[in-house]
Amino acid sequence: MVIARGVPLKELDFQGKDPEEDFQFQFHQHWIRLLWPFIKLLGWNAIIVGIAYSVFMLAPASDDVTRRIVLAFLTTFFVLAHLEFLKRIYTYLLYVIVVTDKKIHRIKKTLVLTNDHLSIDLWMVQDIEKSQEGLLQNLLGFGSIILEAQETVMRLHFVPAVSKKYEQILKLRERARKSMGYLRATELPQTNVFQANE
Amino acid sequence: MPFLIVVLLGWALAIAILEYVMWRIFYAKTLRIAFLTEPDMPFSKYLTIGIVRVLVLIHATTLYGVVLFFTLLLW
Repeated sequence: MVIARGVPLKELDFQGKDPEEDFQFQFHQHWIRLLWPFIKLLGWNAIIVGIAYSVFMLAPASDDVTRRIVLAFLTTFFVLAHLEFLKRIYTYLLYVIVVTDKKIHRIKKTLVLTNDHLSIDLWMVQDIEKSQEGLLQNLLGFGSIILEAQETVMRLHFVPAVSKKYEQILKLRERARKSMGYLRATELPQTNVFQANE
Repeated sequence: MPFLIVVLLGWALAIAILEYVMWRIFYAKTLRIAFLTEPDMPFSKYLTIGIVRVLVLIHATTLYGVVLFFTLLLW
């Protein structure tokens, strides 16, 4: 883990960084992403407590072996439910979007199965779409941003403060296009092109 | 009685190993990922490697504490 709070942000090093890129900002998904795993954890705990109460209190098993087997099963499920929640927290921390002056990097990892890195050049982005659907997304200010560039589509879901991020990305795209000469080339009148050809 | 001790030691070992393995994998995967103070992420300014490690230790200890308590109660 890199704790880079003392480093000037522009010089921040991260996975997949080009030496000429300047870091702008980064973000994780909205914390609401952890709400469902947390509810699931509470649900599993409630089920385990309910089963334990009915097996050990309401109708206690007569022999020790049955009681201990049930206890072992319940303990296993309890431990697994907690480790699953811990895994979700780790996965949440390993999903980062890094925005530089030239690219957007989506670093998406899970503990074992996934190790993705998708980058998209800002100046090549044709469409940037922002969507906030439903009461919760509008209340908490999160949503999705979809970036389309030729054959690449980058979907960023659960983006916190999505309106602000959307505007920041739009501004960075325009700046990146200017630095690539994209606007100057498209703004040239057609007559100039013909004259140059002649 | 000795069987109970074996069971309790087994749970302690299992929880410690699983938490440690998960932590090591997580730690290895965070190389070249920066954890900065993000305005949209609550408590991100406290999110440092030391604190995450302490939280993992607290989680493992609490988990084992609960397992220990209920095993001793219901054995």
